Amino acid sequence: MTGSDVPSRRVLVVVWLLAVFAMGAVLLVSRATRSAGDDVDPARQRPGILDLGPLPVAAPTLAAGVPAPGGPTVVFFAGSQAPALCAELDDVGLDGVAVVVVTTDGSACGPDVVVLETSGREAADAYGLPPRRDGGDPVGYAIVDEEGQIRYRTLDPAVVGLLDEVVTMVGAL
Amino acid sequence: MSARRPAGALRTCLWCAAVVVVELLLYASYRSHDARFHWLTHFLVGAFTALVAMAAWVWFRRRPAPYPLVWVVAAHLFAMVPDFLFQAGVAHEWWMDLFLLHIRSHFVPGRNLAWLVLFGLALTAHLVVVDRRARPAGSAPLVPT
Repeated sequence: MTGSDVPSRRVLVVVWLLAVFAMGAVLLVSRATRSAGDDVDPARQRPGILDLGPLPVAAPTLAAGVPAPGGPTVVFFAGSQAPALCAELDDVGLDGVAVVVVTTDGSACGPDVVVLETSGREAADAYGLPPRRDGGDPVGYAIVDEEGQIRYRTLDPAVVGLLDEVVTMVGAL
Repeated sequence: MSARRPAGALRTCLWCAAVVVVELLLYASYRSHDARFHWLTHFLVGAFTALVAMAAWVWFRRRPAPYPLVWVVAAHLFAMVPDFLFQAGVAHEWWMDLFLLHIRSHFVPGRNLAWLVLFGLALTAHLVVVDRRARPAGSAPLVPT
């Protein structure tokens, strides 16, 4: 339709049906293809903005020096992805940022990364990460500023491939 | 007639194909599996805005809006500007709601289903206005009653 002609009423009805049903189908596909590790509310996943909702809130202490005093900290809740995450962290531009990986399998990370071997769900609950769709251990991360306030938190089951987003959010502090 | 209609249909198909390609590229610009939610929100918000704008155009100009699919894509692109900035390393901020409620649009009750309903209503309104107000090119001006 270039707009040069006035379409008939029948054409208008067909356009309406095609458009509404096509977009309805896209909506159904987008819902059906969400992964088990996603947030039950997709709007809360990777929102890309600091201080959303109730944030900032004080970050609970997970261990001595976690979160790190006097500087930003990124706490990754790695679940079973800890080995892949640790392999990628060396190449990410998080200089000057304390990096913590919460895992249950005792994975080894680089020397600059603190690994906490603890219950992923308990730690994630303490940091207020939302539940994932299947109720399993959350995979995601929280960003804590130099004053010990949680400024950003999200589930992200694909975090290993999206670490540049973490850098962007840390840069926004 | 026989030569003009196929040409018009071809032109329409080319526009539709171009729009589909652009939308596929926009979708691909989002990464990871949860991107469908974000793409769909901004598409529906952009389409809603474009349909309302086109309805106003038809109401006042009494002609169908030219290239309606281009209006939709343009509005979608405008709504996505903060996501382009994000890919360039700029985190979202609340002022980015200037781009068709880029942030708040995700948090409406009902989420994308609500936007689908609004899209359907805006499409209905636009098509009704086209049906009732638009006149063929070259037709005599109407005398106001």
